[in-house]
Amino acid sequence: MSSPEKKKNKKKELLPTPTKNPSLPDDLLVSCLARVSRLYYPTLSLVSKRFQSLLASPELYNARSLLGHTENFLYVCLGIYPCFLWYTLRRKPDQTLTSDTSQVEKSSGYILTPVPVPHSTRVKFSGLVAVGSNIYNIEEHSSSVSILDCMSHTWREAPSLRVKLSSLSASVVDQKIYVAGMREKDEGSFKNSFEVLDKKTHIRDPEPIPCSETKCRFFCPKTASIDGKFHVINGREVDQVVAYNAKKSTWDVVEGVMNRYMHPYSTYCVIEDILYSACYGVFRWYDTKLRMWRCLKGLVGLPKFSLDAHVRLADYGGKMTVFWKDDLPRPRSVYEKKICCAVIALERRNVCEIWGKVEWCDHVYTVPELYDLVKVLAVTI
Amino acid sequence: MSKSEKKIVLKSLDNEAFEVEKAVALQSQTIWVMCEDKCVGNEIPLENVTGQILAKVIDYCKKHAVVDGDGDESSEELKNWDTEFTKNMDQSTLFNMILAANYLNIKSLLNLTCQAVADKTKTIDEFHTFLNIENNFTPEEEAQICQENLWAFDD
Repeated sequence: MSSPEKKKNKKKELLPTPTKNPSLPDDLLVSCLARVSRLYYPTLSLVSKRFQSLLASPELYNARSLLGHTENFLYVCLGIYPCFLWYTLRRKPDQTLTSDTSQVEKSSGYILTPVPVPHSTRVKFSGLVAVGSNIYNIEEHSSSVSILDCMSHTWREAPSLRVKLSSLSASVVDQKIYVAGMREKDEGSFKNSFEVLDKKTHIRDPEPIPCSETKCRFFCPKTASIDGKFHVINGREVDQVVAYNAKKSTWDVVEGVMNRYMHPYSTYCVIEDILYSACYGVFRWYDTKLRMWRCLKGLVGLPKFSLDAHVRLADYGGKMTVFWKDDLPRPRSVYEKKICCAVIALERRNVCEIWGKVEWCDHVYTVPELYDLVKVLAVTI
Repeated sequence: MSKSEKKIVLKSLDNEAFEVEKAVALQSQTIWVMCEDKCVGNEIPLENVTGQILAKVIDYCKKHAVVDGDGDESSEELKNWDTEFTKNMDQSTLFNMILAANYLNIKSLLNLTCQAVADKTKTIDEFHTFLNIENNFTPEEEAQICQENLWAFDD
């Protein structure tokens, strides 16, 4: 076959597109960029102005979702009232992380990086949930709901709750946000309250869903989405755990000891319908079929946590991610703490055993000592 | 069907003619539509593709026409073949392949070549050279973006 140069010369005046250095139209470039990990996007926005606008375009995110090339990103809320800041866990693009987990890498290359959005004033663990690429902040003592769009990194207001709740907790069941809490009926008298926000239609359920007859007071509740049901656990042994079954519109009492390790000083997350709790430095799991708590085995490479360790857990695409605050090695400032993170692969070896394998564990950020580690959320972008 | 009806002639922009099996060529939706419309004879002119690129596209179509629909083992083999196919392509060939796959409307080839670009380009310089794009940021604008994304540029 003749060389391309020769052909080019031969047909020079007739060659509209296939030149020696062809360029791609926007739609084809988007098709290529959609296949690149979002991790590289900040670097790539430096290529040119055209690139910068393509990388922020809705077309690119549409292409990613059509290709099924969405990725999980962890967003972390850190701060102190009234200034809570948002961070995301990134791996430096030039680092290659070994998939050989037999040796936990000393430097994982993972770091928390600030998300360029205005700070939040009121956030609480229980009022933050992630649905797809959005983080919802449902505020206590107000009925306000705001949405952080993690594609454009902008905040917007969502329709507010029907009533103002003085304590609440939200969880996502089947792409809908369920909110349980207490509202002040008259001065000093509180009543259970429950509502559902449909993120697709942004329409709330038309009628209040009865919940005041349940055997559980929705006072400072913890909520969890397990087996497609919305569980409300208030952590007090005297109260029962209840679960809302949306198909039957009923509240069912959940027998067993689910609330045992769910008291106020514990933290929790749900991964593949298993409830995980970290309580006084011990990791446990609860399966609604077994109806018992078991210790999570393995965890080699994870440090021993102190009884008062400030820990947060999150579902990271089927793995468990653990964030915690820890002391910095001396002689670093005593007024600062380090934020550490570990990613743990979970394996159910038999009915009664789940093993956790630490894939990596690292110091990912440094914060002022008084900063609160509010919540870690996994969003899909 | 006579022997000649089973074959089809594809003519490139630079007048190179390729005789191929119809089943091979019809993987291109564009060619399929042209044949359906009977607006062309047995010879199909492809005005956007050079002979050099068309030869590669035909290689791809031949491979996929033979193996498609077979068992798991061959799909694995096909995947390896695809990887090898794009592995050593230079940027201009790869881009022309994307443009050709887009024009000829061969979805799987478009996917393969776009993925190859995504795999080959990870740094700014790679994109500048690979995509033949000029950096049109002022130094101030560049500094501003670096500032916003400090984490990505630190060592």
